[in-house]
Amino acid sequence: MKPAPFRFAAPACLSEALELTREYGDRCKVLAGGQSLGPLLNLRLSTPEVLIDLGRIAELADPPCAGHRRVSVGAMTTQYTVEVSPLVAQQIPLLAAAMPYVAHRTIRNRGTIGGSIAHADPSAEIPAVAVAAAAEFTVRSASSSRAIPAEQFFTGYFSTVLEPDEIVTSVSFPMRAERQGGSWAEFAPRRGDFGIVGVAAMLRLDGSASRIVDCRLVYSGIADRPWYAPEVTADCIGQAPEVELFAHVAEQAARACSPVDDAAGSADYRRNLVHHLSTKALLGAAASIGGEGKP
Amino acid sequence: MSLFQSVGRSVTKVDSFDKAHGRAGYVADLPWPGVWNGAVVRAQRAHAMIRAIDVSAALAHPGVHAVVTGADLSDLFPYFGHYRADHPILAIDRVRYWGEPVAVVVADTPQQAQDAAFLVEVDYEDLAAMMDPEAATADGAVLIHPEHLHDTATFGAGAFWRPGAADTNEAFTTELGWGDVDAAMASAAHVQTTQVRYPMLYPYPMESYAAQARFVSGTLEVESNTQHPFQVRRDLARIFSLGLSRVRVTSMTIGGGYGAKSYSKIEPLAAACSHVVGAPVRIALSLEESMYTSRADGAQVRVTTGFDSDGSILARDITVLLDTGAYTDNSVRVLRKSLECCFGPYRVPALRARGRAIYTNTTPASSYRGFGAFHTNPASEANLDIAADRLGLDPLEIRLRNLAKFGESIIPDTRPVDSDLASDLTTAHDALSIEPRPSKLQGMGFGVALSPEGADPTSIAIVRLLVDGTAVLLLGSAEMGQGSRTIMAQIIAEELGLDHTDVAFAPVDTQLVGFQWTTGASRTTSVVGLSVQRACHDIRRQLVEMAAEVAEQSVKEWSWSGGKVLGPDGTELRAAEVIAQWFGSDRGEVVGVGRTQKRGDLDQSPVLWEVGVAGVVVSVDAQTGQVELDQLVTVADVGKALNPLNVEGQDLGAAMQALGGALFEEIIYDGPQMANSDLVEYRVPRITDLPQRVSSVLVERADGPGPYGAKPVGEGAMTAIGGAVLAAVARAIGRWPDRLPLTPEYVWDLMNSGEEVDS
Repeated sequence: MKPAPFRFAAPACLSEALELTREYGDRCKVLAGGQSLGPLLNLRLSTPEVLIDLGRIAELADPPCAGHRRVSVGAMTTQYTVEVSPLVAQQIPLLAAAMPYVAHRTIRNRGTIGGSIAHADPSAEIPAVAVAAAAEFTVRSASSSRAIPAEQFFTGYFSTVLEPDEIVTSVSFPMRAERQGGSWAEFAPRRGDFGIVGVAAMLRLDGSASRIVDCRLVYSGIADRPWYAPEVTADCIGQAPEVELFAHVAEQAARACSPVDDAAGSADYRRNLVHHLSTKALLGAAASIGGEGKP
Repeated sequence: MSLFQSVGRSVTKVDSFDKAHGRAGYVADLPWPGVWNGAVVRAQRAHAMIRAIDVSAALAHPGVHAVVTGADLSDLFPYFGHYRADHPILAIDRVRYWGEPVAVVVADTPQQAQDAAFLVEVDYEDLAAMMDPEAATADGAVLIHPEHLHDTATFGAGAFWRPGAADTNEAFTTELGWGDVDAAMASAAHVQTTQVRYPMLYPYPMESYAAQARFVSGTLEVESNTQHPFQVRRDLARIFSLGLSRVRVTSMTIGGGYGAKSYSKIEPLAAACSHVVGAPVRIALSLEESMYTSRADGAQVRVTTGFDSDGSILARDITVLLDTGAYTDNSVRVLRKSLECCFGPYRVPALRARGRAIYTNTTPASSYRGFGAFHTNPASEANLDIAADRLGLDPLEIRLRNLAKFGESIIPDTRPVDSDLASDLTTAHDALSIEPRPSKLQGMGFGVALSPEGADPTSIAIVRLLVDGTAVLLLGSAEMGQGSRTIMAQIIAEELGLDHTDVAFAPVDTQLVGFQWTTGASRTTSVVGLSVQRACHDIRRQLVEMAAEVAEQSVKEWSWSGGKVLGPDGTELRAAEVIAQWFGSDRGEVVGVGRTQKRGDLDQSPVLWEVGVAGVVVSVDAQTGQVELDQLVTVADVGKALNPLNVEGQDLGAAMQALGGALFEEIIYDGPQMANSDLVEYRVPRITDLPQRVSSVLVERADGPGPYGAKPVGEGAMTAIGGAVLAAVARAIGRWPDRLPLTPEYVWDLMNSGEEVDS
């Protein structure tokens, strides 16, 4: 099938795009790579009156760059650019670890980091990583600009706090702290398929690298948005980063979650994956700290 | 040194450069000038009466010429179906599955037609949807075909199938058997029952269905991607009450068939639209629409076998239940072949096999590469594996004890087995080895199948040997990527002493080429190849006669040898020289005709036996249930490989395609609607799903009925994979699955089920 007829706009600058979103509001859709929206349009599950392609707006495509204790990335930066960025590898190990799991290489060549965030697919990697890494999104409309913590951004299936006239313009991540690591674990029937469950693990150790001072687990494929369960990792704080502890946390997580139940995976199966993947992600996060932080 | 010049060489496929360079002529890419385009309005109900169709908004859309509905077809015979004409071209009063064509919007461009199709309003009165055989056969089930079109059954009814019981959703039944099963079971030392459910599948050729139709001077012309142009011609002649000479069906380059393009699909729809609007009409479907057009049957197979204490089979009692969807299509043959395959290539002294197909409100099911065999082989083979466990026998040993030997008939009074199956299976078995992988559960499985193939052996081949010594083949076989043109060129080159690249091919056009039953049932090389060979022999005979006539000598003194015409005095003439001498230079040609039917070598049923042998080693992840293939071995027992590389491609291609149904693929209905009618949700195997260790062992004993001793290939491996994978996974996890595909979640469920699955 082909999309229903729509008007196509390809503004050259952000202000022009924001004028369009102000004018059309929820009658328009923003095209930010099109790797998810394209199929939705073709299947006519989405039938906007106006399609606004952000692909020609250079100011939205800034590659990862280091600022004051944060790394910021333009929303229209391709997933592949993020995947191969040395700065991301060095400063946001969790994001670097997750990027190869985002669909297939050909899709990452076109798909954008901001597009994935605004699309808010609960089984996608980048939203879960953003929550775990305490990312912040800069969101603009013609009349306003605001910064939204990732944790407050996602509100449900393909739903966010974005107003119809707002566009995500950039994403920023805190730079890696001392003795902080991150890892991504995911199960998909085959690499590149939609993951059934994914886990972002962020771990920080104390000065002696013997105790955990911060630990976050955020899951894709469990709820209608990235599932962040601080109570699951509460027991970790002050403990040594050991396999037994991680297995205990994983058990807690499996108990605490109430996964969705659908054709891609039953609740029981997803719970099993939470158990299995949590340990794997935590071990990975600990290993990424390296040196004496290794359990 | 080979006896042969051309046959037996792995020459490059003759059409591969055109395909690689985008020059191959696919029907969807070649719209006729000025053709109008149809977009199909599909039912948004699984089962409903149509109260009214409002086409006014669609008609008002720019570019729209007409909206065709079932009511517009009243001057036609508006049904098709070669076993039973129960399939309406467009829904008439009632829809029987979600996605069924209800109307066609005809417009200047495909985009206009598609946009307007959304404007057609259909008013439905819902009926209870019978989404699976259980629902369709329950008390109080709503009838899907209350009119039960028994009277229009057209082919073979009574002989080898029967219409289902009146006033039920039973579509049709068939039975096969011999011997006293009950007595044999009563005397058995061990009785084993096994049940395996095979999923509904979509054969997924990359090219979707497409057709264009027009009426020219009283002749209906249709171009499509059908595998069976002459079967389509028959359906169209009946629909429009036309003589066969007035129906011209051209099969264009086909981008994969796999049985999905057998018989009529959207050709009647395009032709009916052209008839109604009075202009050429083209309809090209999307993949999603193709999945709503045809699929493979789902099957529930139950096998009970009685063994004596040494593992010899005494009797098998088997039931096959097909979920055949809304219409009959080719599933009569699917069911019949299921019974002919369900007991395996074994010596079975007593057999009772019963098959039933049930109408459901789902996409109609029909052919798919290896049907009937791949549906039933997993249950039959798993049954032997489990029995071997119980009897303390090796799984190879129990098979060797029961396999039919060369020359034995597995079904009374049928073509004897023409293969050394024990040797083939042992070859596969011996090639398998488990290479240990840390933290994986591993297992090995293997199996063997024998399928009746060849369909009806009617084939007419016409070879034109031109004055310059090159040749043109006029043949109704469809080239769909299987390499049949290359094989035919090699046969002609062999028989007439040409280079195979000097053979050209006429379009597959029913007004041009000779009659061809089908392109399917693995029949092209072994059956059609014979007719081509005979056409070449007809040319040789004529050349000898012509040479003798020119020399004014008796034809007995002239002969054909070594690619030349030989005279009594040592004269050697090339074919081109004979033609030039008889006709004069630069003119004339010799036309040879070859035909095959159920006569002579092909008089036995089945026309061909196709061997399928496969073995696999799998690794299962204990935490996720994910199955990975470590090794795949197939054995291609093809009698004679006319093109060994092509044989390997067919055999491994079939094995890989079967991995889909074994591990990943299944059409899922979520309520009345298909839940995975696209390639994101419906996962076919990818090249990355193949293991590092892959091999296809070629076995050539020149023991087949085809040319040079050839036997069929292309479906065999497809039939043996499902059972091999099932057994390998069972041995890895210690539980016997009772259905395919073996998805990670299902395998994980099995591992955690706590008890061994009742087998």
